[in-house]
Amino acid sequence: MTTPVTTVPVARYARNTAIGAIIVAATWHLINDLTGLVTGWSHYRSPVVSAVAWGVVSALNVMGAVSMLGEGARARPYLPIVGVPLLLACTAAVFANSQADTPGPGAGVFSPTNWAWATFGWQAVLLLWRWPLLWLLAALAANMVVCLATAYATGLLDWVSLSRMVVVFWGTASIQLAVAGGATALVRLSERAARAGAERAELLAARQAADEVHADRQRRYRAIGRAVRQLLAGLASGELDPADGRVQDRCAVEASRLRRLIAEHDDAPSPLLHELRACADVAERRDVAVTLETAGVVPPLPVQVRRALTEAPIHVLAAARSHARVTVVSMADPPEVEVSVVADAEADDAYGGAGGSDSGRAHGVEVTWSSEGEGEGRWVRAQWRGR
Amino acid sequence: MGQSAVARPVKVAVVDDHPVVLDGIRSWIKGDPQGRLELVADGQWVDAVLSGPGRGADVLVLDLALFGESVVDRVGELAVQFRVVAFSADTADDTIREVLDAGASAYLTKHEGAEHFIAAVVSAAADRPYVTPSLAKAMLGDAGPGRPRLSGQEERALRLWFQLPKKQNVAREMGIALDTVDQYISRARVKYAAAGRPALNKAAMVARAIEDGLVRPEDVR
Repeated sequence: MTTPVTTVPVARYARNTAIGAIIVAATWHLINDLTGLVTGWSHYRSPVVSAVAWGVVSALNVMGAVSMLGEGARARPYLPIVGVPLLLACTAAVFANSQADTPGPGAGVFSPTNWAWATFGWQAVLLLWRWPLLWLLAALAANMVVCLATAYATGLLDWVSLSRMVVVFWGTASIQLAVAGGATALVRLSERAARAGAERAELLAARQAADEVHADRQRRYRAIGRAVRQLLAGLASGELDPADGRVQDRCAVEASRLRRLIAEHDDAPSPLLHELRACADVAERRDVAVTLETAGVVPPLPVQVRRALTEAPIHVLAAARSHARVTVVSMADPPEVEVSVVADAEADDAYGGAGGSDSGRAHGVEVTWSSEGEGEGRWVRAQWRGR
Repeated sequence: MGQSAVARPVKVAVVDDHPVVLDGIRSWIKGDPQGRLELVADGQWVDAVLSGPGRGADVLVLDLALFGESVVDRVGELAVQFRVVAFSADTADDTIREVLDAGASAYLTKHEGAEHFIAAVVSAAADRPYVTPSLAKAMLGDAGPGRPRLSGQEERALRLWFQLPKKQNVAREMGIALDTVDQYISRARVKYAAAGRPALNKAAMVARAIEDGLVRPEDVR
């Protein structure tokens, strides 16, 4: 019931924020990184290493994007676990590879040829999409450590480049963390909104169902009330004799109808119980006292199953002479519904022209006939098992 | 069950807001040929009944709706002092299970009274299970997480007892002796007593069942 309401807007929000992040990362990688790689080709110690690093980042970019847009963005933990160290390796490789012949303070660090450390952040945002923000923070810090270590090892680390690097790290990381955090917050917010909406819809549906049940109950209460009033008035005026067997029968019937009405607790309309109640009402008009009780909650059933479940019980109810007990047992796991009627009905009447067979099966419903006690009456069970 | 001759009658106190019900109960008690119950107090208010000789009752029979007000939430507290047998027009599974969980010994719906009243009170006084068809219904319909695990035969006996409330017919249908039917049904009830919220009367019922050899301690752990 809740699935369509909650998942649709949440999926849309998540998808749109993901697409935004993917566009930023991919554009940066295609325009900035590729330009750096191509223009710096002759300056690398080994251009092939830089080209391979560019290829690895491209592959991670695509894999990150596919994972983000696919089902369950957090389903594949291997992607960040493998991807982030690979990205760090690219940072180190390009860094160490591109410093060769660029003179001046900070030049090697910030030259367009040394593109990998700057692209790291956005790629990490993709790989760690929807994983805890702390992971992204840790990855960004690791990138900074790798950069500083490489710069130190290659002799490029002077005060100017160090201070510039810190400023750049600070500036880009705050944007990247904001995007990732904002996306998570947005999704969480929309999830909450969707849940509230679903709850409201469910409440409305339950209320509508309860109103229906209430109206139906009131209608029946009025009908029963009329009969009971007539009966009581007749007894009070002496018109009806309490010693008369027929009057006693009428009292028994009205009592069982009232009892049934009071006993009803289901606030969702159950068509199966509704049908059985209707049959009980018909039997009661013939002065048969009917008890109808249910154990468990009747699941929604297709109309054919309901018909198959009620057919045999209706025959027994129709043939009952003075009393009948109708029970409905519903089990949830495995799903099962059993309608049973015990009544003092003539065996021949109870068959209802069903022929000689003692049991039958239709629409997954198995019907079992037996006689209750020694010639006391008939007992029929109709049992449906779901799978 | 088993004990036909008790040394003294069971002392019972009854609370019901309808005088006609109290009259009916008095006549049931008086009409019992074995005189198994002694009515020590009855009345329309819980506190009034329990302030007098009702205090000394072994079993308290309690109507759950007094003057339109539910007293279901008092069952737990009353079950500390007495064995409580609920006697109510309410047949809702939720109510029955709640009252049971709070420590009531047995549950009788109003239309089960004539047939089961005396036996249910006598069983309650001895901490023995007594399962009316309505109680069987509430146990069958339980799909809650705290539901105890019943054996196939226990569940079948409960279901048949609910469907055709005549033990002879249940026995015939299952092809077993009447006593065995009782055993299955009682065992299911004891498993319920062992599950859920702990209560004095529930523990007493479980202990009694172990003593009687109805269940083994490992069945109800």
